[in-house]
Amino acid sequence: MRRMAYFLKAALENLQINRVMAFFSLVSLSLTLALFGLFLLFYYNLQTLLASIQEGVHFSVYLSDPVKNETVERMKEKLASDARILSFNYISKEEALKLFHKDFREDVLIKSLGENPLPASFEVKVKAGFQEPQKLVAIINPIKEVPGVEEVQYGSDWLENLNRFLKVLRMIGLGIGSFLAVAVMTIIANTVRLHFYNRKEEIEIMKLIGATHSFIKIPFFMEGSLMGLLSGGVAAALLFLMFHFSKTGLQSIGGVLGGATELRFLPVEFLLGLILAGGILGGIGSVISLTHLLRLRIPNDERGRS
Amino acid sequence: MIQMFHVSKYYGKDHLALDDINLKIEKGEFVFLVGSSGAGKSTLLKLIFCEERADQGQILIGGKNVLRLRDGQIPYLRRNIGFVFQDFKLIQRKTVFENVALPMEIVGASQGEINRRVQEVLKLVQLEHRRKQFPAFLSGGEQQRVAIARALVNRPAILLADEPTGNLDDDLSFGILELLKNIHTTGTTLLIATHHRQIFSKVSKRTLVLQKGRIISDSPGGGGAISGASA
Repeated sequence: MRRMAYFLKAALENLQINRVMAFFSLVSLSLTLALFGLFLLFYYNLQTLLASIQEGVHFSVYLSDPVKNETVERMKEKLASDARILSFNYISKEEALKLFHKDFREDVLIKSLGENPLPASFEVKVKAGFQEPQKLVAIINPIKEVPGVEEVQYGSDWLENLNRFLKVLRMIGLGIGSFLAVAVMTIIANTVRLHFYNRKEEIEIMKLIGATHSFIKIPFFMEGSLMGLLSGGVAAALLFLMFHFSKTGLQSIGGVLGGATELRFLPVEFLLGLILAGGILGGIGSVISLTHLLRLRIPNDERGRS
Repeated sequence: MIQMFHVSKYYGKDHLALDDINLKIEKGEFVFLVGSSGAGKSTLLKLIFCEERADQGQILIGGKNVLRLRDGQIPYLRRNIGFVFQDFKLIQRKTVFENVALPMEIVGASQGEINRRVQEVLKLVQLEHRRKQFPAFLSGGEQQRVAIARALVNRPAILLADEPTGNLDDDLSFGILELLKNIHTTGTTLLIATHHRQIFSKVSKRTLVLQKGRIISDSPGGGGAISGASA
């Protein structure tokens, strides 16, 4: 515990000694992480939007005329026994006609057709978690095979397209995330490297009086991690401010995208993830830099002669 | 305590810094290593300290062959050897206390132990009153005494000193010499490299003379190993 306190003190001293350089690195790191945070914010809201759209996902099973009681019962039984189904509602031909009247009030049109042309149907809602197109298809396909079922309809195309778009976005996010992760590591590795060179003499002395590589490395590792964590925190704060002040403008874009859903800020897990990612990347960046530097300098150089 | 068998060290292809050195220093001995600049004194100390590696021969420290040590084991060897440098090698942004405490921080000593021991060695080098000062505010002699305190703080079995009086005037040099003699009475093995004739001629100790990388003389002096000490 005392050792950790010593290392932490040394790390803070490092930052204090090189405060100007540390400040500029902190600014670059914060902006880099905030950029990634912005992407996360966009992705998160889009996914929320999709989830809200999917909540209303339902499909209609149309029965062929003439409707047999046997078919209706078999369908009710099948839907009731399927754990993936949230609820279903049977609409007979008569009820369908009533609904049509209610919605359109076009008596002339119906009268001109003679008898009731509307089919009986089941309106089925599926549970959350089964609303993605692929899962939906898995529910629908066996229903199509039930004798007496004419057709099953759901808004498949646009749902699939939206899902595909989110998948592409996820891949882009991964790409952007990887690039920015490398950027963060590089900035921290370079900063730590410069700090290391600034304290070259001290490090030489420490090695001469018996310090192991780890003893020398740990404060720099902590320095890198602290810088990463701090930048993650600043990035989260920046994101919040940006979101807060541009929310009204963004809201109107959200409206255009079709969501009645309100734009949301990143949840705490995402923000903690962003801060933690900064810390981890900072640690990795400093370790890479230091392992290389210490390997270069130990055991010998050939400067000293008597 | 220190043994060398046919040790040679080259710098580059042509420059032979040490040539076939054979040497045995017993536990508790006080030995001067003398010779002009470029004779190979510092190189010999650096080989013992593993700051340089010998190109030929074997070096045993406390019976352990240091040439077989892996890089990762060298710090542990150094913790058992105190080294006093001509240019002091003090960390300027640390106080006297912090400089002396650093080897103990490295070995993971407790704060209580550090406070006690640092106080003890600062008393030995008569710098208790300077514990909160930074090296830049100390005289050369005081800085060298801080360096000696730092070398002693972990109670090393061996103390090496490379021109410990090199940057000091005669009065200060004799002060350092008296201090080293005091340290010797605690049973520490001392190997002091110097070209400061007034220093080694004042004390009757074993003296090795190096010339062009070879030991040309080994005179026993009057005050060799402390009685009862063995290698």
